[in-house]
Amino acid sequence: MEPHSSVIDRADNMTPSDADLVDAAQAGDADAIECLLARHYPWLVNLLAHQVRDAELAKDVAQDAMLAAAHQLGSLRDSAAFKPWLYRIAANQAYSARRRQYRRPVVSLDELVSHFPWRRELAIADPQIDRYGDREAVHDILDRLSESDRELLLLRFVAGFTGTDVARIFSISPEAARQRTARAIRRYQQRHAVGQAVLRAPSERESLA
Amino acid sequence: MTPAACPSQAELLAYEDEELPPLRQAEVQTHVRQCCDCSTWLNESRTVGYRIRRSVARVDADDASNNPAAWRARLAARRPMRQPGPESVWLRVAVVPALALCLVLVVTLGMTAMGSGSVVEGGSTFARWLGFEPFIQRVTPDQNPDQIPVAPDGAVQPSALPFDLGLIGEEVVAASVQRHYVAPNGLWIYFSAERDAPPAFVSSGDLSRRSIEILNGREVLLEYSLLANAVTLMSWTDGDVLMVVLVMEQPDGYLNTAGALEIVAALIDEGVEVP
Repeated sequence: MEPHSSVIDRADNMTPSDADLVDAAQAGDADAIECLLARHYPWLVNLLAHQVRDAELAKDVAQDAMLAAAHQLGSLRDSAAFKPWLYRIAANQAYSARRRQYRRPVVSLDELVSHFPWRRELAIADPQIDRYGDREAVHDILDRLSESDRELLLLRFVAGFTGTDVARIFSISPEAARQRTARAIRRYQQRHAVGQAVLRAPSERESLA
Repeated sequence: MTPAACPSQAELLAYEDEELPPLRQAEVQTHVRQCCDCSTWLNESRTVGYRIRRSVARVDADDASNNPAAWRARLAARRPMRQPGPESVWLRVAVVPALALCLVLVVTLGMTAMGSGSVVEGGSTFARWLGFEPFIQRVTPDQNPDQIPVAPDGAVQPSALPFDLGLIGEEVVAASVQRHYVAPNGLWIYFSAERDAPPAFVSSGDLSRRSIEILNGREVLLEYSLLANAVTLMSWTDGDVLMVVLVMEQPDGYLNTAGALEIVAALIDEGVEVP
């Protein structure tokens, strides 16, 4: 009997696509499942961390979502749509987690910083952002956007979803997905412009004086 | 040379994602190179992306991030699929019948209203409190019945009243319909819940997705049901629950939640002061 051959072994130094891995996993290739989970865990946990505002909770939700996805993989019909499908599972789990925390007190941004040591590390790695106060400004703008706008921006710019991916998540047309994303970008830009104007105002007043 | 008409920002995003047909991709590329407005918008959107990427969470993804074997033990340790818990039981016995009920009422009340030729009552302090009032459109006897959206034949099944509204902790909260009326953009249902608490509205991730939005300083739960082809808004106060079901059209084979989301976005952007 021939030894079991995984899609990963057969890839001949080519990185197998998600669709290849899903097809192999649905055929019973355990290595393919593990490769899929490892590939998608990092972006998912980063995205969830911003949504649930708790790094440890984000890890828990991400791991639960990955394991649920592994067990439900047989029900995924379009193997190329794994990433949006996984996000939908995770988003629902994140929602449930947030509902369980419904009555917990709101955590301020300052408290959030203390819970995310990586933000301080990032400040060292990218001093330009801190110099202009951009990080706080970005968080402030994101917090003021609607949940759907914020989600669209994070999906595009953090998780790297294309318009087609977003369309699959929300079960809408790709055109509608892109329109919503473009609108979210415009709203972000508008709020950013307002923030810049507020920041400029004192110095302009000083120069006038 | 004057560049051709500018593509929409949505199409620019498709260009950025390289998701346009090859010929159109080349056309937009040529346009962007010549058009200051389009190239500027693309650059600014990339700047937005850069700022967000550099500013949002960077969580240490631990050993699982690059070690497939780490998932092996987790998969092996995973218990068999969870038995239906209270939430999933509630899903089966309450949510689907609830949505079905709503859609049945959309159909039956819509037809009743048209058949009797009466003006359906609308408006309330509760609706005004939520800022919904500007969006209420009353059904009038001379209104074209085709303008009232209905669920497709056979899409829904009747359900009995009252039904369970949701779970608070482990406890099922019963609710009953107090009053309802039909509007061209859907059905408004006022519930009376047994307890003053928000319903923990759960449903299947395969059928819908949910989000909590803040509307006039109050939490509003939005439920986009793919199965029922509808958007449901729920809010609650002092034991009363308002459910608004917006039944949407379905052109081009896609669920048209965009129209409902426009309404929701307009409601949220309205920002009416709560008395």
